[in-house]
Amino acid sequence: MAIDIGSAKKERPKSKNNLMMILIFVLIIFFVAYFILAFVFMPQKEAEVKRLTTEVATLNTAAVRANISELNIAKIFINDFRVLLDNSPKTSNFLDTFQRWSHPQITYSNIRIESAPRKVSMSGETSTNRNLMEQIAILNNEDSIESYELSSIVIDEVGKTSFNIVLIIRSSLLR
Amino acid sequence: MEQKQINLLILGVIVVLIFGVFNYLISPKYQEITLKNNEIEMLEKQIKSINDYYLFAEDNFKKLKDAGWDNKRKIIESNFTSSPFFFPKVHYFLRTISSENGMIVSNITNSNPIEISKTQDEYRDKLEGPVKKTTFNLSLTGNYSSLRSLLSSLERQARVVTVRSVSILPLSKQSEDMPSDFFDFNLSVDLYSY
Repeated sequence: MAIDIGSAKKERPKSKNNLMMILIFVLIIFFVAYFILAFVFMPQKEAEVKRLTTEVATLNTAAVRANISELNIAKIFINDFRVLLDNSPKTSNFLDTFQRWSHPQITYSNIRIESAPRKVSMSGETSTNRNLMEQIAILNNEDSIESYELSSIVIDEVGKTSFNIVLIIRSSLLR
Repeated sequence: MEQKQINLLILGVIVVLIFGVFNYLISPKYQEITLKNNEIEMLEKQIKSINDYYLFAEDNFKKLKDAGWDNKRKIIESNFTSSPFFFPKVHYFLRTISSENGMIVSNITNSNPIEISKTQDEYRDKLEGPVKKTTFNLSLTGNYSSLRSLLSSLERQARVVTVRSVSILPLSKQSEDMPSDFFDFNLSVDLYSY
């Protein structure tokens, strides 16, 4: 019996068929994935963005804005009030202390207190220069006096003494 | 064309289609969704931070109310008002407080308001509002204890009064009606407004 080799039909290799099937399958999967992304996920995300944008807009109500505005005003007022108060010297403190320093036998006049430079200038008059010496001793012992300057000291023939004095006081005395 | 070549061509077309779908459809859409996700994340963060801020503001506003801010504001806002009646009001205030403390007011003058931020005052940078100061000069007559009392009263006022200078002078107009312990006083004070 003769065998006809030439007429035998060649079959496609199975591996090629499988490859084509796999590629078609992958192509279908990709199309499905695209449609899911474009028509399921994307509308969901867009709706979510729209919802959140609306939520942001509705958060800023007039009542909340009014509260925040009042808080800002309070913050400014309280800060400025504190700053102004802290920087307003208490001149009455100086007058109270000055009564303790001043020598009882010396009469002071033309007193001028300037709070910013912490300067007090005045004229003094007393019956004897000993009182002035005692006043100087008192001022030397006073911590709240930064410096002082005596000028125009005049002692007449009976010992009556007149003088001008400028005190520079420490800022703590005006607090 | 042989069957083998046709098959190869079909395979090639499918590969190109797969590449095209991935590159021109899936990948841009995926990037678009990633952008949307970022946008959502950002909006959620924004909402959270706004809510946190509002809660913080609400909490502080409640504390402010509980501390009696409404009354306190009425008391201190005289320092921070901007009104055409500022000068008459302050003149009236200074006259009243001086009289209440036993002083005779002979004259009150005032400067123009100056914005503190434009001055050389050391505290100018600490202020947050557009605070202006106006200097008022008072010519007064009274005794020494009245002066002390007036200064103490001014220092206790909710309307902040900064005493710039005080001059104590002998009486310029001696008269029999005036007590012997009376002096003339020149008082220079700063008051504040917006």
